Amino acid sequence: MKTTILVPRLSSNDDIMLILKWYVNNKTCVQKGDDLILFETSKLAIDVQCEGSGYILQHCKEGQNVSVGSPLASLYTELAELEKDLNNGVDLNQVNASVKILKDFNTRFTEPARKYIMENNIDPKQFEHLDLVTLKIIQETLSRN
Amino acid sequence: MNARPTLKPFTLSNHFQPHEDDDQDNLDHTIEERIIKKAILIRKVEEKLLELFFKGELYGTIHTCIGQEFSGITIAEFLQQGDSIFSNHRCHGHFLSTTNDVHGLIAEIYGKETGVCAGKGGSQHLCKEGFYSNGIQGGLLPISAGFAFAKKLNKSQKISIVFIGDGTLGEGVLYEVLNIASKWNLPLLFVIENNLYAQSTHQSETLAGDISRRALAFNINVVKGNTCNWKELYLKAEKAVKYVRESSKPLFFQIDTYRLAAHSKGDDHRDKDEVKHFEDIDPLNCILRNKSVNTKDLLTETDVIINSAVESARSSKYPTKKVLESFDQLNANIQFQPYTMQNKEKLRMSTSINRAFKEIMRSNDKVLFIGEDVRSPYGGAFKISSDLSDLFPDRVINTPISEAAIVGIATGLSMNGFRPFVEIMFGDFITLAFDQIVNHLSKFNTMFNHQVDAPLIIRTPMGGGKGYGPTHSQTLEKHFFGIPGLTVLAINNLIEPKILYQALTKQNNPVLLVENKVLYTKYVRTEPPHGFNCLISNEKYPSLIISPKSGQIDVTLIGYGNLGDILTDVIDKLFSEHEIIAQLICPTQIFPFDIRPFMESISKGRFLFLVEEGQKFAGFGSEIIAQIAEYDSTLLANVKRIAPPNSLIPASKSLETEILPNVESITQSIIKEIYENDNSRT
Repeated sequence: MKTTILVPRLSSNDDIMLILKWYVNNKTCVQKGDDLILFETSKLAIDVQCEGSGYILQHCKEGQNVSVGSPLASLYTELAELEKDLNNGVDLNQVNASVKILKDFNTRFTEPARKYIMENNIDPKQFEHLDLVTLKIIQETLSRN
Repeated sequence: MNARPTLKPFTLSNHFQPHEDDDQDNLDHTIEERIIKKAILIRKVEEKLLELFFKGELYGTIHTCIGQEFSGITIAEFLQQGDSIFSNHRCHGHFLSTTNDVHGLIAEIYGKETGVCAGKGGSQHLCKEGFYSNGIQGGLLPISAGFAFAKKLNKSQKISIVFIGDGTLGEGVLYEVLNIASKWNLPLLFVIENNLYAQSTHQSETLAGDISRRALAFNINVVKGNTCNWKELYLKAEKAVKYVRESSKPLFFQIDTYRLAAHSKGDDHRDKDEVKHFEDIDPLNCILRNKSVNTKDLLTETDVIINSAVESARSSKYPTKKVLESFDQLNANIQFQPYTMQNKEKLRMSTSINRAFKEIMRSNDKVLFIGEDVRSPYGGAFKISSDLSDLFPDRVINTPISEAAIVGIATGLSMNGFRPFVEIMFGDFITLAFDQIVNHLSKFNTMFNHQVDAPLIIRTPMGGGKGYGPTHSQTLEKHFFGIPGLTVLAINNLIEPKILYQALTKQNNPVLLVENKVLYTKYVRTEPPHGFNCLISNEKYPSLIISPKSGQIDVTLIGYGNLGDILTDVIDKLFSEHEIIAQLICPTQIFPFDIRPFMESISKGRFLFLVEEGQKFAGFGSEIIAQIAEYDSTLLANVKRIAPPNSLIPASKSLETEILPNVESITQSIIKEIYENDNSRT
């Protein structure tokens, strides 16, 4: 099974943050509570811990600016599943993942929402329980996370 | 300069004189006595009515036929069960000749519930056992032709008889009916009671040419008689009725006569000497004066009947308001449920409607398709009846360009068990049938106290968007809102047309069915926009609501007809491009219409837009706003009507496009309104 780890909101002022450091490498088995990543916000650098256990697959690189709510990494319960995704050419940076997911979704996004998702590399799956998603809904959701 | 017309000097001999030897037309004594008895009855009933009016005991008005009685009586002598008789404002004599119902007539004029129409019709609007009268000059002519047509289609050997006065020779619908009656060989007897006057205007001022030549011009045979020589008239009536019945052809029976009393109650400005002359030669006066028949007993007997009827009417109850139709509770039980659009095949609306007609005509042989140029190979201006006449050659009927007659004839057919669908080629032309719809079709059921149903469906394409210009592009249905007895529907492409057309074959009252002409070339929608649900009401003619599956609704749009399609695109565009979540309410039945079942949906949105293709002044949107204001004015915080400017519909494509509501213009209007009034969005 695979779960997606999204970029969390660490500050009410920051929609975008810089990845300073990954504490774990790809395919590493991590435990819940392990340090995962170091973000730089506008005020300070903050460590983020892993919320689950499993094998890690990064979607973003160190030095990259990422949007709150966008996919940060995937966590696999089975290493083989991770290997399979890698062999199938999953783009680690997930540059096109949003587009692909948007197309497959039943959820309908407004054009501004779609553009925002793609520009900010946001995982649209977090909205899959909704039928219609506006930019306003995305921003409200992200602000709550 | 004197602009008044020079009148032809009136000579009494121009009209009629009694035969010197009246015995040349001897009748059987029994017949003679029966006719005289009826004449006395009619004369005395009307004299009594005038007396009661002058005493202030009666309300409203009457138009007596005093002096003209023998016209109706002699014709009625040859009626058969199943024949139909149509009269006008001056109808008491015709009614009594036909039905002999003194009690029903007098009670009706008293406005009592024991009247033949329970007091709803009054003097001019009578109905009983095949007898119909109405107060619009010539208005019943096409209805009578419709009855005649029904009798012909049923091969019943029954006939229609319509009484008109010479004043009605000025009405255009007469010539529409003369033309059709002749062309279709309808068993219709036109009886023209020529009493020389239209109200108080002598025909020398208003009537050109010869009366009977009017009929001859339509290749209709003419018979002439007069009431003065009523025995001769009897014999001519016998021949006339026989001719119509046996040949199944129309006949024009001109009966010269004279009205001895005023047009109505006291409005008489005719020359007293002239009236005196006709009083002197009036056959009934002569009979009563000369006592050539034992009239004493007849008069006594008649007085008993009339006095009994008057007493009976006096003691009868007035009808209560509940006898009147009310649509107040029309939509009380409307509920909505999820709707999966049924149409899986990609079909244009015109094809879908055409298929619907093929189905309903196959399953119901009473369905008729009537209109101008509707038969093959043309198949109607918008091809709705394409191929229909090949499949149902006797039930698809081409008509002359005679909108009033078409609607009236179809009304008559509908009152005889047929299910006619009339096509008015362009909605703009329906103005030509306005009288038939307003004063006849829509009124009959209630006015005649539910003795008749007239389930006629009038279909017509309304709307612009085709460049047809000011008289072929209008949206005129609002002029039919508020006509009691009439239902106005507008098709849309959110539901499959056959659902509506099948329901229409089970309709009991008349319907004006608006088919926006742009819809014809559009496809029946197969699904709502992605992310939206479709709800359907449990009405006979369902309303649809397209609403978002999730999210807070910003805007409610209400529109019908082609706007159902346009506004569906608008809600799609508003969401996709402008972050506005909208819902659409698209009713199919637009009159009578009650907003209350939709109030809960409307309350979910913060803005309400009423979108119309027709003029917004006193239009559908105005009505909706008025109703909401009555029930819950808090829902009107943000409301706006979107409609074309107060202008005709221009032919120029650029101008027409600019003024008619379209997806882009509606969207921009909504955005403008929202951003001007919604601070949270600025």
